[in-house]
Amino acid sequence: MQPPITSILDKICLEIFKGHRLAYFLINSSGTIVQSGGNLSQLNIPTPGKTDKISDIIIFMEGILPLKEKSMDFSCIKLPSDICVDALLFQIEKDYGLIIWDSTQKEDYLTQTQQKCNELSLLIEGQKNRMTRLHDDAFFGDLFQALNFAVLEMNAHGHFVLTGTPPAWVQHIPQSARILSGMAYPEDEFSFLGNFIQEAKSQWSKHQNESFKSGLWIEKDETGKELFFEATAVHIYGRKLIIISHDLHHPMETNAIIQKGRELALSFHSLKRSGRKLKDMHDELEIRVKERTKDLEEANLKLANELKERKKVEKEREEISKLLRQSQKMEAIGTLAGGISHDFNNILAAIIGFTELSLAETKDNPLLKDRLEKTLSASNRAKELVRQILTFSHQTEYEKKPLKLKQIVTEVLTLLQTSIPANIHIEKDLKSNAYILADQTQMHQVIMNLCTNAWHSMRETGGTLCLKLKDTVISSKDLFNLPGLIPGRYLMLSVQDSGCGIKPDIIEKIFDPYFTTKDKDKGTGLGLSIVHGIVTKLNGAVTLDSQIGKGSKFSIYLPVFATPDEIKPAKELPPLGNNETILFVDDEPFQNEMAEQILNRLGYQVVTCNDSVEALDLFTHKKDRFDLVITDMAMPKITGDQLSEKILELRPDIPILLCSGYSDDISPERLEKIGITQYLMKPVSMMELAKAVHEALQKTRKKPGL
Amino acid sequence: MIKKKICLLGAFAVGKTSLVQRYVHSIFSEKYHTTVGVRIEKTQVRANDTDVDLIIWDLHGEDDFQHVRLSYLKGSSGCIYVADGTREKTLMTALNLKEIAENTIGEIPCVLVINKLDLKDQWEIDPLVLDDMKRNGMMIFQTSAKTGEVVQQAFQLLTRKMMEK
Repeated sequence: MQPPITSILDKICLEIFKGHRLAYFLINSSGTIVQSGGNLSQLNIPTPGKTDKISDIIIFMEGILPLKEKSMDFSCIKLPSDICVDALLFQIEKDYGLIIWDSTQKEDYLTQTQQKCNELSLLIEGQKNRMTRLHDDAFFGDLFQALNFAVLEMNAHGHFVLTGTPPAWVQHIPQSARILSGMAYPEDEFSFLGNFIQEAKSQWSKHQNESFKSGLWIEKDETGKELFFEATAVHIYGRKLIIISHDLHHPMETNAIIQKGRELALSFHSLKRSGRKLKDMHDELEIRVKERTKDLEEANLKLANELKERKKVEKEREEISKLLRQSQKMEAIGTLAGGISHDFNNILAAIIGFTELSLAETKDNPLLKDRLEKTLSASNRAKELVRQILTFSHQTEYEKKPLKLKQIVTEVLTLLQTSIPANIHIEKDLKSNAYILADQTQMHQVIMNLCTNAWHSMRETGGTLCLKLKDTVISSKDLFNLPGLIPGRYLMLSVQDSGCGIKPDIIEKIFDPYFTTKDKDKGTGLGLSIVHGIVTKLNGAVTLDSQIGKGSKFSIYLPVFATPDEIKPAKELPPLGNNETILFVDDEPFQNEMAEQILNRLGYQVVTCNDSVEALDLFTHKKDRFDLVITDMAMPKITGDQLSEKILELRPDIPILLCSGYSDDISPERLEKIGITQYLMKPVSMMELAKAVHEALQKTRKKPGL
Repeated sequence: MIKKKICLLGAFAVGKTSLVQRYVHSIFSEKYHTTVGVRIEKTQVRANDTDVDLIIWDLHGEDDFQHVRLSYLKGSSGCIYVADGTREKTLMTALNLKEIAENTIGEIPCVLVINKLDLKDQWEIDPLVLDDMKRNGMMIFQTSAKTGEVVQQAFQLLTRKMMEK
């Protein structure tokens, strides 16, 4: 059997949902409450039927019944007794059941939430409305009027005209009647406004929605009173407006403002002028700075060039200084060599002289003759050596003579063989016997320098030094590679090594003076420069062919002087004298002895004298006895040149031969001034002496009146 | 005793509760108080020489967050559609609710109340629009829950209309 509905509802309200203050009602189909239960008292709902008032429940139920659905729920129903409930109405066969329960807390929470939402919505709506109102002309008009603004709006023709209700102050401005009647545009009547409007139009063309103010704008009314305005240009909702404000102030205040404004304007203009002046000064300064910078840059460049030049000059000076030191060293060597050579020449003169005398007397003794000839040859070589030393130290002039280059090459190689290391093999192929016109010593130097460089390039690895000498003909087509030559016959000497070769980047510099690849103490840098200088001076040329790792080949081209036959010296005999008397003066006794014997042999009478003073005395007393005087230069008491002068004073026609072992004793000018017939460099061979004496005597004989 | 249920419908904050409070209790509060769910009030009036118990269902306002539960309209004899004169949009809401209600419970007597007459100068609703609606048969009252102006008349007329039906 099913329990009655009331017991179920009681159980739900009083037991299951005890804490939720539930109450229930059973209502019949006509809407009358039949029974009720649950926590009615807790809900503060009067029991139906116990009061005359209409029950809250009945009021609530009004109009709801009959139900169309099986149940219906209600949320937050606030009953007339101010109780807030949730409700569930449901069908029970033909009757209805209603359960209600307290929803006050729920209603409070929902109310608070909804309240906030609604307030927010109202705020948003209010903002939207305000925005909407701004579009409204009337609103605009009212607003502007309230703010005491005059508003100009741009019309379709681009003119600004008064809009809305103009404020009262417009009446006070000049031309107000024309403006208010529309006969004139404000912008035409007031230049300030006109300018501002032009500026506004210009600004709007760049920045569409820009708003900006005009600044203070002053006009006088009909009475002369100053009125001031401020215009604001705005572009809003597609409308271009000029809003003009005019605040009326007390005259004192106005004057103060105007005064202040004008002072500010004056200050502004003053500042502007100062600014402009400053800008001008700044610009001028900039120009001056630029000019000065340019000057400084130029000066800097000039200074840099000067420094460069100075460095170059200093380098040159250093080079010159080095050269000077070298020169001084050479001079010192030269002085030393000169001093030695003087004595040495005297000794050699005796050796050569006596050997020649001995040779003349050894016709029947071939062995002795051969030995004496070797002695003479060695003496001549010694003589030549002394000459070379003097030449090297620049103590003597170069003397161009026909030379057989083959002979010099051979001599150089003979000398080199003693000093070149064993790992350097020398090859020679000397085919030409041609002569050149050159100084023997210089040519010696050329070949020696080339050979020395060659073996230096091979000194570590060893190799072959090859010298070739041949005749060649230079035609015009060869001149491209041999500039400076003229077509003709040449001797070509090549000096080739198998050394390290010369780097391409220094090939052009190798003939420069002082350029050297050797260590500072090992090379002067003059060797190839001297070669180039000597060869060029002889109208020749030097070429170089070099390959790194394979070696270098120097070729010198020298013009052939003449055919060997043309210059081959003939076997000649010394010219003999005719018993002429010769005064021979030398402080060296053996010189006198030798000279006497030679000259006697050549057919001359000889009076010798060891002392120059004695010699002068002798000549003074017997001046006509002598046909020729031969005197040494370096002598104590009276030197050779002084003696010659005095003799010539006594007898100007007498020929004098001046001899010296030292070339710098006397200059050619001095010799000429004194009247020396010939200057002889010791040691003098018998042939030389014979020729010199013969020629001197011949000349004297040819003189008129003699 | 004849009992008549009437419902007040409208956008939020148009003054529905204020109108009921003014009508039933003759009180007005400046403070805005949102209604959640429904507030049921009862008052006894006399119309057409008959005493009538008016059961007034003040439904919560329609807004973007909560919609009127149409089931609450069941058994209503009349409706008052309320709008705020200062918010044009609320008129549209009221008219929209009217259409919905009529689609749910059929055509019943109703009046349109444009509240906040005390703020007339701030009204957004164009009087010409209201005139047009009047010409189309709509009963319109411009009321002020604050001052009580025309509130009574609006309830009275609706009660009469309900009684006549």
